[in-house]
Amino acid sequence: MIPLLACALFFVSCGKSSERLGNEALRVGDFDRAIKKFAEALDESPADRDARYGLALSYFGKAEAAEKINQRSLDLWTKAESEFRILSKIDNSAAKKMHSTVLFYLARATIAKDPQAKVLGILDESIALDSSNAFSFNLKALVLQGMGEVDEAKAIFIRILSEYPDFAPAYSNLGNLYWEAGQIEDAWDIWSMGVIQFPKNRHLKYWTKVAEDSLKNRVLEEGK
Amino acid sequence: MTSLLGRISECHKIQSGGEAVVYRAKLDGNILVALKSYKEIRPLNADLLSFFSSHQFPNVVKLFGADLFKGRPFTISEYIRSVSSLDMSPMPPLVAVRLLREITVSVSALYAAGSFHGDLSPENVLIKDYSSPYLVDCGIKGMGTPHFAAPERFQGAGPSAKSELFSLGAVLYFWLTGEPLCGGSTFEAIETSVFKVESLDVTLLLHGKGRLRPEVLNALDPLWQGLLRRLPENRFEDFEELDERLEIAEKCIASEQAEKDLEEQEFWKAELKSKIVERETRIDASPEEFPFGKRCGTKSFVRDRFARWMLVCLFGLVLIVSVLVVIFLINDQPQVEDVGKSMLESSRHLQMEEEPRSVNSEKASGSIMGIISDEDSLSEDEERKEIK
Repeated sequence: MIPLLACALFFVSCGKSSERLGNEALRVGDFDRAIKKFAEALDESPADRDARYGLALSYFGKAEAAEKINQRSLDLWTKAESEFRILSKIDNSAAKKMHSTVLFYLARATIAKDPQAKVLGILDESIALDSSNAFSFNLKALVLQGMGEVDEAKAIFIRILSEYPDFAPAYSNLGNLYWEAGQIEDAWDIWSMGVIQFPKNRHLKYWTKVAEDSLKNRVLEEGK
Repeated sequence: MTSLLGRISECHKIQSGGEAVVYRAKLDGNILVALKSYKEIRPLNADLLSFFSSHQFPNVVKLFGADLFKGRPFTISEYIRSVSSLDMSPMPPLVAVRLLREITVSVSALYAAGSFHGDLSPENVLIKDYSSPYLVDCGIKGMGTPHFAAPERFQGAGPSAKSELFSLGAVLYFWLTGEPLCGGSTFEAIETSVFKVESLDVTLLLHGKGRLRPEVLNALDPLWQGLLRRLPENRFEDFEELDERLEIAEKCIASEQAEKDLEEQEFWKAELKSKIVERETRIDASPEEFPFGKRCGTKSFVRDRFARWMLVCLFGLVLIVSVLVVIFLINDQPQVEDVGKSMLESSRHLQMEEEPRSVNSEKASGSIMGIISDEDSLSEDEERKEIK
């Protein structure tokens, strides 16, 4: 009984070694090695859910690392997204939030490469996977704003701020939108709300000051 | 050896002789045994011990085992609540004859199995009750107790049926009188006496003691004629013949019993019971001894047993821990799920730290999104400032 148990444990241990090593590599940020090990595990068992998730995360980590140092990351995001898509076929309940985030990054990298790229479909899918992904909402609003769909963009920013008042970028972006539309008072309202929420946010503080100054100048000019 | 000693506990001394000390002890904590520890260093006769430990004979104390401790042999045998026939002599003639018949059956059984007692003497016959004698110390290779040894044994002959018959006769005489037929204070004196056994008229000697009636003396006389003979060939043919003669003698004695004889027998039986109780009480009251050192005493036995169990438990524990460690190692992989959550949290936190991009109509086509620095942000701010 004991030898049998030992043998069983040994074989289980051997079978899991690639995946285990992949996990270890992933944990310490050795994404290339993690990709290699998870790929080996998938060679043995392509439907291994954990190995697939590990491989997808490895590409995610590698792409994110590349982005941090301003390297091209579109291909890596594409691979990561591809792996998450396969993963969703193995286990459609798994890693939806992560997949949503990957789609956000993919959309952002796509726009970075080609500002005219049509990424709304990607962002909609991202939001469909994770309706709490404020980043995708935010990016979608920015894209719409860029396309001239200002009202739709504004509605999204307002929705973000109502649902996620601690999402700082939305204060800046909605303020910007008002500023672009010449609604300086509205812009000041939003930015100053943001400053109350995030007193240390330099960007919000700066633009609140700019809006204040602008309003003061306007009053002075009107007085003259 | 260690295992046998380890099973022994609660040793109380029964008696100490010239060559050995006998203890009452417990085997495996509950079986009363007699432990005989020899004082001299000598080898064990493995064949003999094996024979006696693997055979059971009527009225012969069962041998459980034997071994050496520091070169000194010890035997462990069945414990009988009894007294030595040495202490119960002289005894009524009818009792003596009946006991001898029982012993004859035992010696005959040994002979049939190809063995001998070799040291038949009153000391080696224990009496449990009126008709239950037990032989102890079977298989002695030496000549046995000189007072009861056949003449040929003094000449170096090994035990035989004939020498056993002589010894049985000598034992019977002792039981009737309480003293050996062939006495003497030295070995040589005893030897001379034994060799001159035929010069003794045993019946006359017994008559001279004045204890036995003529009818009894007459009934016993044929026994002396067939047992206490100098030459083996002049003794009874075998144990069956002895048994037949004993049976005749028993019937004669029984038929001639007077009231006084019956009273004597009852008195003897009462004395036997009393001595057995007295002996057990004395043994119970004696301090516990550790003939093989304290490690082999009661506590050590318990300790050894405890230690064995501890070892087994420890082994089991080590095994379980090992299995758990292996399972832990297998399962202690950084769970991909956890890593994923961590990366998601880290990534979204990173996004929060990024300064938002301002999007204006002029720049929308140029740089919609991306990681921007404060410097970028400020430069855009400056542009806006100019616009306004």
